[in-house]
Amino acid sequence: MTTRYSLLLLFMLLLGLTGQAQSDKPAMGSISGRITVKQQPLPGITVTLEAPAMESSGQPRKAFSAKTDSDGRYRFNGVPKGQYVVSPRAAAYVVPTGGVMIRPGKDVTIGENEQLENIDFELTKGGVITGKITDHTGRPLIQQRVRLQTRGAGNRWQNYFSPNYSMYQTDDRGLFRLYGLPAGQYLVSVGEGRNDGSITFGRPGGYLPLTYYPGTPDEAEAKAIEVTAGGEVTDIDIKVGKPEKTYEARGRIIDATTGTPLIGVQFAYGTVMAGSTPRIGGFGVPGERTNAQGEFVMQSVKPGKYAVFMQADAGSDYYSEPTVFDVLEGDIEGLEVKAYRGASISGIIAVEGTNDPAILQRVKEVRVSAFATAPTTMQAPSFGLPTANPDGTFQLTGLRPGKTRLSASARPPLQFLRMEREGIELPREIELTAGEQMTGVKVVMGYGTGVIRGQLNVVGGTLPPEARFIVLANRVGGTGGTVLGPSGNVQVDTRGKFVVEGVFPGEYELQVVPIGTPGAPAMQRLRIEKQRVTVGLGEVTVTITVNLGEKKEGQQ
Amino acid sequence: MTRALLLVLLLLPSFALAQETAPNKTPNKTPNKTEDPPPKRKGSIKGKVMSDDGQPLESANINLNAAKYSGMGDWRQAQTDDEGNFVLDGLASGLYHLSASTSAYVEAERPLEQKFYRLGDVVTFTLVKGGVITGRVTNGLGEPVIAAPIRLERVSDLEGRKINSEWWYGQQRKTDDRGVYRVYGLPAGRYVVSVGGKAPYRHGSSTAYESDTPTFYPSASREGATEITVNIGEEVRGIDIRYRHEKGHSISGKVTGAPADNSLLSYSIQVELHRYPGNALEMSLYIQATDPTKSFEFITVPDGEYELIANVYAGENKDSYQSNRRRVTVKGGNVTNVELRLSPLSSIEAKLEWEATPEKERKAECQTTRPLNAEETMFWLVKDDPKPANPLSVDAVLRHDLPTEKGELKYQNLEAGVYRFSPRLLDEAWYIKSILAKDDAPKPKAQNPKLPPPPDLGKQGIALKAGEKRKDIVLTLANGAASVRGRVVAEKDQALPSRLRIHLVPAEKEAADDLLRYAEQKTKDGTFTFANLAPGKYWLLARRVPDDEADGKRVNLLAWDVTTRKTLRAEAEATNNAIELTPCQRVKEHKLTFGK
Repeated sequence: MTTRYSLLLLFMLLLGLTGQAQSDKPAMGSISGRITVKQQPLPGITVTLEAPAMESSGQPRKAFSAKTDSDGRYRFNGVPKGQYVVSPRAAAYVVPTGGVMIRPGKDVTIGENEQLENIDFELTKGGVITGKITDHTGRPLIQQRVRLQTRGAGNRWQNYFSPNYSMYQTDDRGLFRLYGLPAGQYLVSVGEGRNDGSITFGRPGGYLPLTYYPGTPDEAEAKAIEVTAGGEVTDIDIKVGKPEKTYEARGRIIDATTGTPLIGVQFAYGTVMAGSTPRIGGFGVPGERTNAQGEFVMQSVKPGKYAVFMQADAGSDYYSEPTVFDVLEGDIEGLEVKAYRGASISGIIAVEGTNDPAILQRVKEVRVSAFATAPTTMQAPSFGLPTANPDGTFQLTGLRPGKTRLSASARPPLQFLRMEREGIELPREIELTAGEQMTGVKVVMGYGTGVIRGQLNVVGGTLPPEARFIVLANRVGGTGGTVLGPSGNVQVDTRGKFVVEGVFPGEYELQVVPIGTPGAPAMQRLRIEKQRVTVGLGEVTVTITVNLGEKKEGQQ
Repeated sequence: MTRALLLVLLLLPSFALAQETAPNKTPNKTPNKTEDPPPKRKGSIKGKVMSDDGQPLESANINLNAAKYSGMGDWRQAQTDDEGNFVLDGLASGLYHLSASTSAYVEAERPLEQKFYRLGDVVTFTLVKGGVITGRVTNGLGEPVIAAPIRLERVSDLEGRKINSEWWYGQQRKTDDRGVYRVYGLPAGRYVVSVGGKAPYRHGSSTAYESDTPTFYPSASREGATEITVNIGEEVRGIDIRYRHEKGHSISGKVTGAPADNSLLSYSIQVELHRYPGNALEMSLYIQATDPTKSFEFITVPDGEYELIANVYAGENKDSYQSNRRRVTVKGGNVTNVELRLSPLSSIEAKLEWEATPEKERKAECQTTRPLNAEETMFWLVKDDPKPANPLSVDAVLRHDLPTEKGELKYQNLEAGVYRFSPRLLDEAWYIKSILAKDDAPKPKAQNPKLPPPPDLGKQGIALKAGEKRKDIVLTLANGAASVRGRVVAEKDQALPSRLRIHLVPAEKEAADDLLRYAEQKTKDGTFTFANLAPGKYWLLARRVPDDEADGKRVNLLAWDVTTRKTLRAEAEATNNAIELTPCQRVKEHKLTFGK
């Protein structure tokens, strides 16, 4: 949990593109709709209107909240233009677009003074599963997280997520109660498997062995629980085996050239996923630093294959090679992580298309990043740490030699155009030599006023209700770059509408990408043609057609 | 930061540090030496976790935090075996804070002096079965209120004494699809229960109830809340709440003075809304450094009095920023244009000097004196704030550090004010003889005989201006400290008050204002221990603790207040329970009669 949480935080820091407060101008837009169950109105339900994603960053933005009236109708007035998610907050019901999203609901994009109507939801009453979790001696397991799986793509079992996180925890009697579940088949389990990609992290005294209802470690022998709409299945009790042992792994981080220990650096470790090029799966940063001898310790590691590496701080000169090790039965000693002084790239960020000081001073928000492409060995995950100074200069350090992709990102109205050096545009990918100090790189950002207003039309069938899309507007030619929306992504709303704003003049390729719908076979087969559009200083409109009829309706 | 903060919070209640001397430590080596440190001694801390009925507790978690941050291994966990035993081994010598926990249990309340440990210590934790509050939340139509966050606030102990507000289970507990909630693992005390509203820190996604103010049991605002008494291990049922939909108001404004330094890249400004008085964090939010407006708005704030504060945490060894504390009253309307002005916080760096009596001059009873083991000695810095702006807030006024190998102490991110060192050390052989402000350049006395002595900060305290970085503080430690242990007894046929405060007052007239010579301690069973005392003459004085004073709240010594000090001296002189302490003297079983 700690791991997952710190990861989440990290990603949010890196993305950092939280939705910005909307303009202060009085807005007259409105959004309304109706909530029903079996076509009957559902009164008294809270409906929220929030900016999409990034909502956990702690910054409460103006959130709209409304309640359905006796006819099930809700309405938000005074909505500024922008991207939102409309979410009925009815935890005991199933919202059709739910299941995989943090916030089940519908994406809407509203223009200035637009009156958006009929954003309706038909809900079904959710099912319930209750039971009791006990340990090997029969005592209740308290505050234990229960895992719920449902059938997904290819009839495979996949985790069922609910925003209602707390319902997965047993209480002081070992009891749990999972509710609001769509009708279907479920597996209930507790504990963790070996080599399941997760890392136990600072949890003492071992880990609970994976146990499915009614009492098997094997998913194939688990009993599927049939939940009907509004039905309640009780006595899904699980007795878990004795905790299995975890171990410690110790080692140190050294400068590969001099052999001297690196003191006070952070380390991270993750599970190694098998494959032609093994890669690091879920990983965590314990938050501890190496001591005066450069030593680190990983506590409470369960058996499995891991890689440990240095987690470089911003401005660090070093990168590291991950050191792979196996934990079998016993503590590990003497691990050595080799760190190398990396290459560096420095330069300045410039803006084209405006002299407005208010815009120019936003260069400090630009994030310049460099990452290795086509790695031949397993690499430690690295992040484009924020790099720009208030004066627009930037420096990237600790870069691994080899083929490197340079990029930059910023919130609208700034967008990344290209990189130059000595007046010559740099290719999308450059080759860095070991220890190279590349200076004088100019990152050119564009200030755009263009708008792409689009409509996604579906012909030859209907999309599943959970279908959601984002639009990537990729600049054609040169180093390119993608135009971001105020929250990071440009969403296609429930009516198929999307708006890309702050676009610098030029040619763009629009790519519609389905998101958050791993369970829908129809979505997996979906292929949408990329479309080109030329943008000037004003607005262009575009229609993108998705023809479902071109694809076969394959059934499992 | 969270961990450091947590530690500080854990440390609040008192100064009295563990007085037990640990078994033989690495000998010699004064911390003044600058040569390479020898490899640190390794060792273990072990112990047992029991329930209050004497049964060993299996699978209880032990959390260990090093008192001084040094890198690897500062944070460790262990779990008890079938017999409730645990071992934390491979620990470097140092001082560690230990706590024990297991689901549905709470640690028995105990003074802080038992929470810090050294290698070789054997610890017994007693855990008490926590209480439970359970009930159902419905709306005006009697329908269940679903997935609504439940918050519990422990407002007073079982005797009804107010405590520094403690929140329990911010948003981890929610009502289920029947509207039923159940919160367990509660320490005994009196609680108010609320449902809905915004949690201080939102973990994960928002709830449907954030646009309402919290409804308190039974169906009230906070003022109308009914307190619920939970005895040890008791399950209190039927705490049913009728939910009200109340919107509250907003508090908005902006933060100014944000650091321009982009080396703090991706920093964010945290704005906190605390209830006043009590310091309970009601809500918090972040402003991104890149947000040009630096504006904030708290919505759904119920009527009441609050304190707002903004801060920027800069990271280890950097100076953080904090704003003024801005008091705000919400009553029937929105509060706008609140300005929180950030400014850099202050710091104090101090150096330890040693004044060891040469071995041949030592009295016989001092022969066993070991050099001070700096890595196991904690120095407490306390803000001398007799009337703190927020009287129940203690986390802002108490800091600790352990000296480096070179005997340096550093306290960062301090608010402006007057600070004092607590004279309590872990090692009984030493005492703080003086605290002086000294320039680095030594001035030869012979040439300038009229040079005034350096300011005696043991009396005055260390004054710190906003943003000031003081580096001129010298603490002189001397060995030959004395100690006195004993017990307060009642006069014949009299009962002893349930809570007493024992004062130690220097009897010499010239020491009347030397606050390093004063000590005080709260006791419930009448026993007391004073150590790290400068040799000299003292009076002992036992006084009843006022009934309304909660345990573990006081940070300032009563003697720090000049008027109270005079009163104490007068009372001490009148009762004249005098004791003369010679160097290294260990007085045991001293008897002090109450009321005499």
